[in-house]
Formats: sequence, C-alpha cells, structure tokens
Amino acid sequence: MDKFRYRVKHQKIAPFHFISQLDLSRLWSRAFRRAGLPVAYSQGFNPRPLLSFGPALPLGVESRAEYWDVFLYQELSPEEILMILNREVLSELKAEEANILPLSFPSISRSMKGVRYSYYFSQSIEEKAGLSPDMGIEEEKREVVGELFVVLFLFKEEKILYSPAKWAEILRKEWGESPVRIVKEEVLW
Amino acid sequence: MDLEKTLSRQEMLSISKPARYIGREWNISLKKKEDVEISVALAFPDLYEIGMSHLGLKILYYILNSLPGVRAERAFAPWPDMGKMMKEKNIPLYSLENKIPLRNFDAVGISLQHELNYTNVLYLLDLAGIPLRSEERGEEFPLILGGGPCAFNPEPVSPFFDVFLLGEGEEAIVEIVEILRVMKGEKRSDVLSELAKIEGCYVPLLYSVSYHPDGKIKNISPSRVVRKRWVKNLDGAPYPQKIIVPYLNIVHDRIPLEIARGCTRGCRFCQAGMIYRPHRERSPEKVIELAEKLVKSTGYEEVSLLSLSSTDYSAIEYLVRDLSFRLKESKVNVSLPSLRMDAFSVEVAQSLQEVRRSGLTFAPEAGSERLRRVINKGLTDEDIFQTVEKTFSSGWREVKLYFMIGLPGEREEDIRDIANLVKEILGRGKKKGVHLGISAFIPKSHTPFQWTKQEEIKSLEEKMAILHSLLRPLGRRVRYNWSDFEVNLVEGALSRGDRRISSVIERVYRKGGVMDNWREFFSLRRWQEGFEEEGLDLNFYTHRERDREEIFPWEHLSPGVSKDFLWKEYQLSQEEKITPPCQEGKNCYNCGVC
Repeated sequence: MDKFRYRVKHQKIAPFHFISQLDLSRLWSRAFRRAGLPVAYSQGFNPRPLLSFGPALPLGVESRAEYWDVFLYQELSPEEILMILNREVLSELKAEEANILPLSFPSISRSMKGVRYSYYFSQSIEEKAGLSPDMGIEEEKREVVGELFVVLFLFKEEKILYSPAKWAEILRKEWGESPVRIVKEEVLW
Repeated sequence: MDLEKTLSRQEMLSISKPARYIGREWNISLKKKEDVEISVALAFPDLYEIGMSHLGLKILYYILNSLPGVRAERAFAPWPDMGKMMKEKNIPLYSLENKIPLRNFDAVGISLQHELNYTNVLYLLDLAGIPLRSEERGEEFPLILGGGPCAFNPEPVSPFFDVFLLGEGEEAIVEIVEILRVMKGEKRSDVLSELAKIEGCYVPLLYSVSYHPDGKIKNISPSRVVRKRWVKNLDGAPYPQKIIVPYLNIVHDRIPLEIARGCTRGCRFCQAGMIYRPHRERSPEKVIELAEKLVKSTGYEEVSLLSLSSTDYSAIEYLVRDLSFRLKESKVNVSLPSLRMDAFSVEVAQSLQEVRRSGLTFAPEAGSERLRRVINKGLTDEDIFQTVEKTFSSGWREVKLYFMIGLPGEREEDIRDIANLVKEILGRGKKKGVHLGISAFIPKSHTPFQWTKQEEIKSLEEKMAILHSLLRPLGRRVRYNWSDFEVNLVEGALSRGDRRISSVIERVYRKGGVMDNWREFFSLRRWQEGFEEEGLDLNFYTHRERDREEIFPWEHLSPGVSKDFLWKEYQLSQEEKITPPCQEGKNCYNCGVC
C-alpha cells in the first residue's frame, strides 16, 4: 500500500497545557478516527496509527508550534487535512499547517535547529541582568505585553531539547521570579 | 468562575493530574445561560477517572441536555490535594462545563455506587458550600437528589439528601425536572411533597423511624412502600449517541454499550442480580446502530458490550461477529467484560478480534460444588475445568478467577477446595497461570443473604492463612490478591445500616475521612471512633443474624423483589438447593418484579 507522510503543526494553548504527551497522542488518534482520516496503522496484533511526535512538551507549558508526523494511505491536500482535523479538535489545539514530506525525511527531533520560548512574568524583570548565552540558550528580546513582562529565549545547538520547565527553575533561582506562563512560540528548522 | 485566574500555573502544577479539573473535553454540552430554565449538576462522589467511567452518568447527562431549557453539567470529587487547595483559596466546587459553583444549580444529583463513597458525598457538599443536612438547607440551596444501587438502602445518608430515586432514571429524571421547572421559586417543602408523588421517588424527610430499646427498628411510618422504576423496553429507552471523550486515561476508557439489563441467574449474594431485575435485552440491530454512531462521534478504539452476564445475551454470537466485522476497518475492537463460565463463552471471546491473549476472567465465587449450591452459582467442578481447558487451548496464558470467602455456611473444606481447584487447573494447563481475586463476602440489602451475619475479620484472616499455606507452595504460576477486610467491615455496616449511622458518617468526615475507598485514605480507627462517639455498635449492623420478622431499615423501599421470595431463597440456600435461572413463561419463581 502506498503511504504519504505529513508533518502537522498545531497549537496547545491553555488549559491544554495540563494534558500530558500520552493524553495528546490518544486525543489525536481519536480525532483521526472521528475525522475519517485515512491513517495508516502499524501491522501486528495491536495496530496503532503511524503517528510520531517531536520532543514532549512538559506539563504546564503552552505551545503555538507542536508537531507530529503521520502516515496516510491516501494522498490528501494539506488544506483538506487541516479542514477535517479542525472539525474534530477545539480551537486551543487548532492544526495550523500541514506539509507533505518524503517518506525518509528525518524525524521531528532530528530536524529541529532551534526553539523559541516566551516566558511571561507578572513582576518587572527590567532590572535583572541577562544570563550568559554560552549555554546555548540566548535571550533575544524583552517586552511588555499588557500587564506582563515577557522575555523571549532561543534554545539552540545542544540545548534544543532542553526542558523549558527546567529553564524556568534556573530563571527563578537567578531572578527570584517564577514565570506565570511559558509558551513555545516557534521551531526553527 | 475562571480557574486560570484563580489558580496560578505553579499551583495547578503542584496538584496531581491537573487535567481532572479543566473540563473542555470533546462532546461536552455547553448551553447558553439565556436558554436555561433549570440546571442540574451531576456530581459523582469519587475521582474524575472513576466517575467518568460510569454509564449512568453518561445516560442522564445525555437525556437532561437533550431537554430544551435544561442544563446538566458534571462535577467530581477532587483528589485531596486539590480539595485542600480549593478550601485554602475559597474555590467552591464547580461544574466542569461552565465552571459554575454547584450551589448555584437548581438541583445536584449525586450517584451512589458504593457505600465507601458516603464520606465523599459530604466532601462534595462541603466543598460546594451547601449545608450537609436537608433540614439545614434554606430555600436558596439546590435540591440534593440521590440515585444508584445504594439508593435501595440510602438510610445511612438519608438526612443529607432531599430525594432519592429508586431504580432506573431514564423516565423519572424527566418527570423530576419537569416538576422543578413548573415549581421553580416555590417553597422547598412543597416541591418535595410534589416530587414524592413521582413513582420511585423517596423523600426521607416524609418518613420517620422508631427503635426498640435493643436497637432494632420498631416502626417506619408511613407504611407506604416506594417501588423502583424500571424501563420496560430497552430499545425504546434513550441511549447517548455521543459521549464525552476525556483526555485523561480513565478507568473504563472505551465506549460502554449496554446490551442487556438485569440477570436471570439469581445468585444469592448478588445485589445487582436482585435490584436490576427483570432481565431485558437491547436488540442486536439497536446495539449495532448505537455502536456505529458512537464510534463516529467519539473516535474511541474499543466498544465494550456491557451487561451483568454478557454471554447470556441471546444473540451474542451474531452480535459479536457482525459488530467486529463492521468495526474492523476502522480498527475498533469489541470487548466483553463479563463472561459466564462455560465453553461457549470462551468460543465467543475467541471470536473477538481483540488479541490481548493474556488472560480471561471468570467468577466461580466458591471453592466447592456444595458451597456454590448454597449461593446458587450452579457450576460443577467439571464445568470449571472444561472452561479453563478451553481457555488455555485457545491460546490464553492465564485465567483470572474471582472467589469470595466468608460466605454463609462456609466450612474449612470449602476454603481448601479453592486451592484444590487451582491445583487441578495448573495440572491441566502446563506453563499456564492462575490469578485469583479473593474478596470477603458482604451481605447486602434486598438479597436472600440480607438476614445473615457478616464474618468477623479474625475468622477471615484465619481462612486467608489457610489459603496462604496452600497457595504459596504452588509457586509462581499462581498469583493472588485479597480485599482489605477492614474496608469490607465498614462497607458491611453501611450497606445494612440505618439512619442513625448518618451521624457516624458526619463524624468520620469531620475527622478528615474522605476517599474511603482508597486504601491510602481509609482508616478503620476513624470509623470505630465515630461509632463509639455516637453510642452505636458497629457489630450490631454486621455480625448479627436477623430474624425473619425483623424490620429492615430498607423495609419501605422496594426493588420489586418480595421479602417472601428472598426468605424462601435464603431457606433453600441452607438446604443447599439451587434455583435455576428464571425464564419468562417457563421458570418463574414469583419474585414479584414482573
């Protein structure tokens, strides 16, 4: 049977930052069945949809750039895929983008070149000194959004897969502030 | 209420499984405020993962939300870490759909599935800021409704509720809501007297109980008996076409499809077998239609065909074959949760495409043929061996067998016979395993054993010691676990308890008792103190044989099965005589239901 590989980008906005990676994988498998998406299944006694995720997002971190790869047994246009998927999930999980990929394309984790995260603080962090960038985590921008103070960090090189929750711990130690919100903004390929 | 504004990210992350409290699941009903005349909160006195697995909740949610002008939303008992946080932060118990505090609903329906949830009923009311006792609740508070199997003896929790519904809720809930709608704003007591006129509705405030000096009940008045509701035709009964799909992995994370209600077998220990009579089936056509709709609306990967004894369903072979075939392409499995112990059931299980061939579960319940006759589980040893052989030869690696100990008339040799059965089974299946689930028998109301005494913990432990000595030498092919006898003791006292126990439950709750069905939270000492402080004797409720004439706390509540029939069955059990399954038109024992 022919297979077609797609990479889909979706959101995972509050309150869905409180569901785990396992929950998310079940959620999409069920959305596929409701949508009637022609998903290819694994062979064997316990067939599972051929669905693979990138690095798991820690609990409590939101995202505007989550990805998974899926194999279909029929070719569909990216627009069609997005349309039928978005009928089956809530807006906080909206699928934003779908691309067809060569079957042998590297996995999500291996294709990533960098990840941008926003850290939202309720107290001003203007006075706080920047942290040394040699760790592979670089502060890119500070701004004020409404009543919140936001710092944008780029995780790259050996820190691409570094946990944004652990980074929040380091910020708390350095700055004495815990972020009220962490959002994965973007993946660089 | 906006949960995200009330609790910070850090606070939410500090509690276990925050996904329990966020709602937003697929297929929830979100009605607009302006469209709502009557609102009902369906509250489950246990954790999200347990409550969300319960079929009754799904049926009532569906029926209520299908009614124009009616809003039904869910609430569950929070795990104690979240309960504590809610108290500290003054967050009232809220519904998951629109995050509305429970006390703002017109009615709160609480499902009573298990006696050990009773402290959680108080936990729910307390977190909701609703006074615990019916008589303390003013006009501004919602009516508290109760239902489920425990409603057949709800006396221990009766002061906390305004109304109980006995039996099946499909029709009655519509009548109840209609009265709430018509009488909205009228005096609470007037609404209650009107609700009491609905068949199956029990308003405990309208009944009074007096006691003899020895603690037995002298009189319950008025003498009017409340009879349960039951649906005559399952095909005509409403059944959800869509159900909520949770994100968390709940206990029964699949489509529950009820194929039959009631059971014809008449096992004398089984309360479900008595209170859910008569046996009724949903037609295979209807089951198939519902299965296909539910798969489409939920995306679930499994359909479970529910009934008290799935292989007693008359068209089970056809249904399983046809349904498996239809669902194969969408990679949906069919499963059967309750198998009768015979070769036919193994064949049916074999035809399921589900290929988890790890184990098959049966319930012989007692070790000897004699004791199985006492409890009316008419299985011979040979029936058991043949079923197990067939199970092993069909590829399963293990059988799981449920047994009870502490059954009426049980002797030491019956206990030894459990081990003998296991030995024989191991001999018949080389390299195969046996997994035993052993629980203490608890006499329940409305069963032939409602007169009998529950066995003491000490004696149960002696029996377990015999089992240990016989099972351990059998090696690693035998695994077994057993119930917590202290928990069973309290369950026994509550299941045949009377109104006076309500003060004990309240005391236990005040001492910190919640989630009593979770071993890590259960404390026998708390319950013993509660009984002592109320001047009540726990043993009076458990370890006492009742006379034929004794007035039970549930005397005025009827599942349709007559006391005479139950007594006759009790006598037959003592004569070790079986009563074959009832069959319409052929074997009728005049139990009184039909």
